[in-house]
Amino acid sequence: MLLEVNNLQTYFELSRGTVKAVDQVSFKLDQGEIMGLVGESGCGKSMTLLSLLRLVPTPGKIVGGEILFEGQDLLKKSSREMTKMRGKDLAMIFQDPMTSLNPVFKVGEQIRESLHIHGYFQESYSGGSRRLKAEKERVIELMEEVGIPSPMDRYYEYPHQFSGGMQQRAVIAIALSCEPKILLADEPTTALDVTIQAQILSLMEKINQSRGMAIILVTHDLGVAAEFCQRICVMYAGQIIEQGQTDDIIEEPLHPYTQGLLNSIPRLVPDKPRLQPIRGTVPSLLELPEGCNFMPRCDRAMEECRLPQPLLELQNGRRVRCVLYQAQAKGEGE
Amino acid sequence: MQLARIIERILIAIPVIIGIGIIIFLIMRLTPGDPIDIMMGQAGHVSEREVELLREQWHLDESLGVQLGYFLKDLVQGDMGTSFTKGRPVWDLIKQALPATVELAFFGAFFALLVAIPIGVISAVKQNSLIDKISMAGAFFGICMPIFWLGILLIIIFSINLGWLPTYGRISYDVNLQQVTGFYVLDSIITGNWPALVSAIKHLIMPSITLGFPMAAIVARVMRSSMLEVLRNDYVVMARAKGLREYTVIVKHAMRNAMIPTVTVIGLEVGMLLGGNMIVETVFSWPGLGRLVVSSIFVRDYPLVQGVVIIYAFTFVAANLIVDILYTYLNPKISM
Ligand SMILES: Nc1ncnc2c1ncn2[C@@H]1O[C@H](COP(=O)(O)OP(=O)(O)OP(=O)(O)O)[C@@H](O)[C@H]1O
Ligand SMILES: [Mg+2]
Repeated sequence: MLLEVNNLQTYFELSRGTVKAVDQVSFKLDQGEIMGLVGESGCGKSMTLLSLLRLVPTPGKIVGGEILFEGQDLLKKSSREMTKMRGKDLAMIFQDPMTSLNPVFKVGEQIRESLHIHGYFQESYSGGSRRLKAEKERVIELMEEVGIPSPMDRYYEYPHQFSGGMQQRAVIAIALSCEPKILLADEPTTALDVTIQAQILSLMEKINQSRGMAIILVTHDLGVAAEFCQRICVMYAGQIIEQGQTDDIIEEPLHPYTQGLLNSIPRLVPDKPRLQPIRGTVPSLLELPEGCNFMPRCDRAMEECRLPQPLLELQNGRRVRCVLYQAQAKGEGE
Repeated sequence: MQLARIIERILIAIPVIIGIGIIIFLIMRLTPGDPIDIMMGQAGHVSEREVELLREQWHLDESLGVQLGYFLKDLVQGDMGTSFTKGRPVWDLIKQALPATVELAFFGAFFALLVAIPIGVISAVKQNSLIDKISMAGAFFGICMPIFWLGILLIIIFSINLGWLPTYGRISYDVNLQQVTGFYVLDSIITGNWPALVSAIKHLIMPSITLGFPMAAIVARVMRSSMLEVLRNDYVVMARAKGLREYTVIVKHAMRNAMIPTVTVIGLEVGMLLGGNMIVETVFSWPGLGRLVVSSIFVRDYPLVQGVVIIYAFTFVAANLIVDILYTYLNPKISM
């Protein structure tokens, strides 16, 4: 197992109360796997990824759980060890490429910086200028690999001279530069045009196949997740409420929220009924109900839903956080 | 910035400086008080005939328009005229006083930036901490406080009470310094004259702090707020996610961006430095342009006042040009 997250909790202590941005999140990620993390805006997807890197913004804090990377708990590492792992073992791509690159440095140099700080070519070339040359050549290769045309020239350009799609390719090149074992992709295509979205996603798929790099793909689009991921976790209000193989989830969603989410995807197939939005609105993470977070919006809510819900283990690696499936559960979930 | 743009800016500066010359010319003539009356009051016995001669010699008997004509004609030829009271060419007097002023302004700005930029950065990184609160209270104080008051306060503490620092002049009378450039610190280094270096620096400390303090206060606040702005950006989180050490994230990635707005403010503050220098030079008896212009205003020494003001205008324009060049260097979006 490459990555195993158990009961991760990331809270924001505000004067108005505690925001449980990430609450009891558990999942596993295998070598070379693409896992989708799906949910509405504000459900805690980004905070989950940032927690994995231990880069939660203040006043947020990881208050509990463990993040086992190759069996070692990242939360127990010193901050120096953690700094060394960032970019090298786990790399991240951010939601908005237009703001991810530093506007005052040349794009090529920003990619090179990654290689440089992690000591690539350090042993082979102790002399400064030859090391620099080797690094530059590698950067140009990377730029080619992610599909940036004429990389020799674009190395020396600044981010504002790049289009959004090209900026995202550059960000991906930075993420790939040290051949991380896991790529955390936080809605890598949300800010881009539809055609560019497809290009970027297929680029990531290609990299996943050629390098065997595991990817956690965060998206609010279940359609995108269904197309690219082997497994999907559905998040709602800071918690994972359902996870399983993509096909299982799409064909037979269990949690009423997942069902609602699937029904609210516009379909081109005519025999399906019209769009069915989920009624009500996403709750504020400050005033969550005691029991199931989805209960106020759920058509099948009942008395038991008022109690805290564990993540139930079902067959085939499926898990769901809903009282309806208690009978099918293989004993106690967590 | 390309050379062509720089030359263009210099050419634009010429009419600006001449315009300022005209304005100061008019302000001086419209200010009540007549230079000859003042001189007569000081000199005592002056005959009517001598007064007539002086008026004629300085063209004070002509109309305002004709006087302005003479002034501009001389100015474009690079001649700033002769001081009424000192009887020497204005340019000579300026040349003599300029190094003192430049040296003081340089150390004032140096002190200000040396203090303000790290304080601004630390306050932003440790927002709402004790350090942040103390520094920002200090900055607020620096902005509100009258500059002469700080000068006097420093004199009371460090000269009168502690006796550590001299209160006036640029160097002690008992050290001999061979002048090369007129900048005493530089000259004493060039000639290897260490006692002179120590004395020059001791004389510079209090005037530099007094001059630089208000600038430091403003720069620290601007640096802090632009740093706070920058730290919120994704590219800062991205820099951390790449595996950079926090120090590199702050000093390389964040500060470089936060300097962009700060540099603009620094350029404007150079103007404040010039204004402040009249007060500081007066408080510390610093033999520079500030003191020269203040004393020449009192005696309505028109050519001298005009000359110094033109030099001030020139410095201000030059400082802003340098800042603009620096700005385009810092901000790649502009250099396009
Ligand atoms: N600085 C903060 N202070 C307080 N609460 C915060 C802060 N940052 C995030 N949160 C809380 O954490 C929750 C999760 O945020 P997160 O950014 O992970 O959402 P997301 O699922 O990535 O949404 P989106 O799709 O909009 O990116 C938010 O609902 C918000 O309430
Ligand atoms: Mg997000």
